[in-house]
Amino acid sequence: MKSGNEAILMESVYKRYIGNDRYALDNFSLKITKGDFFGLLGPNGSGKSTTISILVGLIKATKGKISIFGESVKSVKRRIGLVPQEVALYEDLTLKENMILFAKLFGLKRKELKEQLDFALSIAQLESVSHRKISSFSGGMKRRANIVIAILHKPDLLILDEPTVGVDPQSRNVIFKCLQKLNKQGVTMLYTTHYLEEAEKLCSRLAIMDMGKIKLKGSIPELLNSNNKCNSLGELFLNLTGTEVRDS
Amino acid sequence: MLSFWALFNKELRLLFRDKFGLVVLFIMPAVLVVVVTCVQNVNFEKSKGIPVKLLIINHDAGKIGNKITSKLEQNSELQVIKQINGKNISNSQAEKLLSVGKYHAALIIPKDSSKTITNYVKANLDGKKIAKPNLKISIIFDPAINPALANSMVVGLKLFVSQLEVHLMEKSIQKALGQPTDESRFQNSLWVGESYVKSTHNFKKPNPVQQNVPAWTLFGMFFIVLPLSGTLIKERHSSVMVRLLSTPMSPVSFLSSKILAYVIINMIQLAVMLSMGLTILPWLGTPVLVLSGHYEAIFVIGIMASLAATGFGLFVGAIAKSFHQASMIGPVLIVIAAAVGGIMVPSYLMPPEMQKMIFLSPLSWGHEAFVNVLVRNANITEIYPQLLKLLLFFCVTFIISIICFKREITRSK
Repeated sequence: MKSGNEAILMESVYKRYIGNDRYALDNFSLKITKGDFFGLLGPNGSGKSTTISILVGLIKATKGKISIFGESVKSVKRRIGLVPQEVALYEDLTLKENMILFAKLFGLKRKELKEQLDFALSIAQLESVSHRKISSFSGGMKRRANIVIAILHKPDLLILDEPTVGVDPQSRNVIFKCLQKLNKQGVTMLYTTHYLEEAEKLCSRLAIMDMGKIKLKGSIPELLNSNNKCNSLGELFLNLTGTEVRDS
Repeated sequence: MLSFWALFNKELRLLFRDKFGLVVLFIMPAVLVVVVTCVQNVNFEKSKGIPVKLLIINHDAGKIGNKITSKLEQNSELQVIKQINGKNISNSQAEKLLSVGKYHAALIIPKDSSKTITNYVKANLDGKKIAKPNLKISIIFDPAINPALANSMVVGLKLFVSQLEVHLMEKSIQKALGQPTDESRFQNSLWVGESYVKSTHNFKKPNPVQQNVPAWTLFGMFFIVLPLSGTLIKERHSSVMVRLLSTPMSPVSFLSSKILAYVIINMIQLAVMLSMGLTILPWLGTPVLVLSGHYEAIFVIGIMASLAATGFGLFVGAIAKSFHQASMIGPVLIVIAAAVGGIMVPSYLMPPEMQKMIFLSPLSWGHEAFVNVLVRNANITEIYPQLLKLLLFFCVTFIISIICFKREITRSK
């Protein structure tokens, strides 16, 4: 596959889990340009996490074409950073031990490893606690540490699955600054969240998805202009996805 | 390789920070080795040093009753009691004393035994046809006596009486021929002596230390199933697995790093347990563990047993849905394997049906290899069947673990 200007290209992707009649992704197509800060919004069970799992190679699509920087998912793993929805760290290891482990899993060696440790710790403002076990961290610190691990290997694409759940405003502010700085440095961002104001603040382009399909995509002004009845992103979101509570 | 060593390093750090896991891995088998060896050593010493208390109720006025009694008195492993409080013992008194466990056995020699046996032998020699006399020299046992000991006493007595019968015949023939009788022939007629098979050199007589230290060390080694399956299930169910799988790391290197870490732990366990046999156990009064320079063979058995134990741990961690399940399945299977494999009870004491199941227990393969080396003095080439079985067990459990692990992580995402 040839690399064009796309960071992510998904065309007519289907995903159906074993024992489930419904498609989690149903003829799903998505194109994200290099350097974009792209927001993927949708209610619970809309297919956001399935999309992320396919992009990082955790699961395979049932059908469809997927490429990242023009390559297959498997061959491009070193260029992707993932911030999972939950804190994905070893609680009994210190932050630094966690960082060294995951840096080495991405193939970082000595000098580069040390430089990246310093960079990632400073950007997330965690330098002073790197020697402490994760189990001693507050919720906000854990969330920042969760991001730190994902950016250690200088990924070109950072995929963030609701990275600010349960985070205090101060930590959230640090996270936003960190992500914006990385995006300015050229890192493409795929950001999922339920906080629509976060999406408005951070993302240059958005897609609203439901039932495994993209309902609408574009820049925020483009999205709002597409529906004259809605004055805010929140209204538009409910208009597209309905007001019924989703429990799955 | 970089990712393998990073994962290995992580595994060791997590292990050494898990205090409960370390207690399970080191303290528990150490306590088991000390307690079981000391208890069995006491029984072993008892069976060696304390004579069997035998009551003799001799109703025979002739020579045979006295000959049997004096022969039994010569045996250092028997304490022969002919009178209590200066009085002869009655049959019913003997039975009462045995039933309360004061004595181990009672030998009853009926009235006119000498006369009956002599007449029977003489009639046989003269070619007269007479009915076999209704004479019964009997032994009554304490119900709690070791059955093997009781059996050996019965066999010994039967042998002695047959020997006596032959001697009487011999004497009658010598007398008829006018030759002098030779009593020494009777005294020296037992040609059976005790010895143990020596496979090569420096044979060591089996003792509780040579048997128990490797047995309970193996038991402890297999208990790594708890921390190993526990960490695997914890990782599998946490977001850490999502992050790990998003890296270029392969599931095989992930599981292999665990194997190396736990094999090292197993080898440390082995070294600690053997050191206890060399130092602490003799200090507690047991015989010292004799390794006789078989370090190479012990090391290889240790590695193979460790691989089998880690393979089993991964297998349990891969098939169990939760730590609760693993903590039930793992230890129960180990205890069954230990019971079936002759770790808890020597295999020769098991019912025949159970003995047929020994070949199913990886613990028995490891134990057999250790006993062959430490007791039968076998070298490494003589224990390859057991080593191969352990290696094969590891390969099978490892392959199943990889398949189950891959399927499970795909299903849970």
